[in-house]
Amino acid sequence: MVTPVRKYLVRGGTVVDSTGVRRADLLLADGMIVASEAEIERSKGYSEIDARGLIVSPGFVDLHTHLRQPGNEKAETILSGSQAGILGGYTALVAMPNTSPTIDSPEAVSYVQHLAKEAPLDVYFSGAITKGRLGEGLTEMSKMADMGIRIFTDDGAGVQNGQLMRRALEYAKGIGVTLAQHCEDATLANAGSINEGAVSAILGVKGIPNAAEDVMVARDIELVRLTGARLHFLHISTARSSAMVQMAKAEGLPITAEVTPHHLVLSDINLMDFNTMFKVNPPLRSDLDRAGLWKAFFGGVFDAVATDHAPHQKEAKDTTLDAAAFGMIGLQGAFGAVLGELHRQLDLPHNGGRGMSDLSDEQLIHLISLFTWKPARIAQIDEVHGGPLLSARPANITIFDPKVRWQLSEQDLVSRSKNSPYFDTDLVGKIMYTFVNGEMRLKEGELCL
Amino acid sequence: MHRSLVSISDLTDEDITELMELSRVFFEVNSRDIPKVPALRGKTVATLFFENSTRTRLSFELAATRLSADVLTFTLASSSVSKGESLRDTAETIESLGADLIVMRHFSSGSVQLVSSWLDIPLVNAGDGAHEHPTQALLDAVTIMDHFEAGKRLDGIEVAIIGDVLHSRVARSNVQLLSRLGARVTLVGPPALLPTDLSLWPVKVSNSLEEVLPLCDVIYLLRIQSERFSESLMPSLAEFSKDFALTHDRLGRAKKTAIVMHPGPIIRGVEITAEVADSPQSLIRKQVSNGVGVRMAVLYWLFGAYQGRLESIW
Repeated sequence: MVTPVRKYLVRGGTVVDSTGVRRADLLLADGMIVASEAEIERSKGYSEIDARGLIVSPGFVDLHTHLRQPGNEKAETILSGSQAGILGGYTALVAMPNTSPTIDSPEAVSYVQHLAKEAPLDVYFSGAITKGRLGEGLTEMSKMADMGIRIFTDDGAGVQNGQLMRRALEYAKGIGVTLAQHCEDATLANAGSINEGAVSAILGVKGIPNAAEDVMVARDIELVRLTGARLHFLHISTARSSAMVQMAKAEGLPITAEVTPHHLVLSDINLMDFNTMFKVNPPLRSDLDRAGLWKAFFGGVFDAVATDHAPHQKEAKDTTLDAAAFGMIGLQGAFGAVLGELHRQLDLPHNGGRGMSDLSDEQLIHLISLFTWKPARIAQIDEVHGGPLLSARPANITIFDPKVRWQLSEQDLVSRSKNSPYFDTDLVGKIMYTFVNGEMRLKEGELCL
Repeated sequence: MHRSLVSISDLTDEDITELMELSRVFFEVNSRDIPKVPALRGKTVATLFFENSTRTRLSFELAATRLSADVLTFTLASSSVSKGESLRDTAETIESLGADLIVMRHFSSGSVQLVSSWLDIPLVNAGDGAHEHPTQALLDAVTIMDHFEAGKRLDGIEVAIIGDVLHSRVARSNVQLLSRLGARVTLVGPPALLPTDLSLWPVKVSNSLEEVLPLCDVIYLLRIQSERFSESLMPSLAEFSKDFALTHDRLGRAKKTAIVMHPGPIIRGVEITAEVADSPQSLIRKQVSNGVGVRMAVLYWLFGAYQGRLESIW
């Protein structure tokens, strides 16, 4: 987008970044933070943002977005998904390669990177590990790495063949990129639709057992031990898998893991009336697993909260549970859903009076780290996104009100698809401003593109 | 405000009692020389079956006919579904044609509830995937009740439901209804044919038919869904039969007063031998004949015609 770069003074806010929590004003110009001090005087030519009562954070980074372009532009485009991202506080998205055609070649990378230039935020791409995501032959990762691709994944499915996964990890290690795995043994998943458990037993719907995820997490941890390659676990959904990841990290293996807002906030109970909006892969698990995920969350097991934003048109959801598409959108509302649930997990009072946020500084830093600098490091974009809000850093910034309680409604969604699971969820924390490379893209909660 | 019958959980205890009483009224109607009443004259009942069925569809169509309703039949083979029509469009078309009530069977769990949310007319679930088949449970309950002259309840009656529970909508409806009426239900089958997590089911579970057999008053056999064998849930039908088929010998080890039931279609030689199916302890044919009266009761009741006054039937 070509718009004149303007100058801003962000005054009165509380800055939370990887250096900690501090009262600071920020001066933004030419796409950069040019000053970050406890108090900055008003000066001519700078538009002032009143950030009193607000938290000023690095812009959010989503490691796991499906933008559907090319191939399913009716469900989402790079542009519409980016706008949803802006509203959700994101300044960078990493788009998944399971488009049609798959992003599995330098030509495909070149095409989507060209499209992404028009986006109002920074869109990065993951490439596929195997050609066509068929799990058979490796893609030309090195050529794609030369074009800036840093993560490779067959997301939507796991690499089923252990030998192929081993070779992929070795190859990725050699060229310095990270593989990301959707852990699901297809034979155990057995074409199920929802979590296998008490709910699937009642509904008579074919289930996907926890073991489908757990066995591949276990296998891949051993393959990381064998190869020494970096591996990122996508959308961990079970208590067992998070415990295995915790142990593997404690051993020092180069593993990272993400959790989605929906696995933290929702469970398979939501499917009791067959509502296809809650059909997602990996499936919403039992409340026992959800408790396990929160235990892991508080134990620092996760490196990122990632949306797995998965747009689907109405027709793909307006059918029976077994026939409906997997996936839910998440960019708008992700942060509010997690912060809202965090309040419930910590049993925090509604509208607690003390301080900026109801969270302690440590809790706030931890939460923000999972939306910002930690995922940015995994994506190797931390020079541009997620870094500390200091002078001479790029001005990728999100400003939110940590106390606002709100609900998302369908009219609020700018995504081309409306399959959000959060219409009945109490969200906490409203995104007010988003700056992408110094450009204001969100102003007082409204898009300004 | 229309009412549908999708799940046993849609019914209150009073509804269940009312439906049982109404069923018995229609059993009497069906025993007449001319088993037909004008109760639903001018109404159109559509049967919308996306899955093969003989007895259930015929049973509903006969029930509607005996209530003097007109019947509209939809079957998958001759429909536009094969041309790519969506479930929603098919259902809305049937409603637009003027059907006043739809009896629906579909291979997907939850499908009937979904269609019911789209339409303004009542639906009767005639089986949705492995989810529910409420009229089967109602006819089973009334059959057991009448056999044991148990009045309005089934307190203390031991029921074993045997076989492929995992894929069985009949089991899911029966477990709910029979246990609500006071029966004690035990599910019997190999682990691969039972759901892994039965914590929300008011049942006992056993993997041994021999163990359960001497204790039960009702031996309820489920059809083995041989079409599911591709999943290698069991090595062979013969292997299943060896441990779970109800044979003459096994029946000899059950109570003399025990009854044998099966929702049909039975596969003689797999879950039940011919001798047992035709034995005096078998109520299988009674279930089928009662089915018509129970479905007359359900249709009549859903049309809201029943206001506690039976004279409105005639």
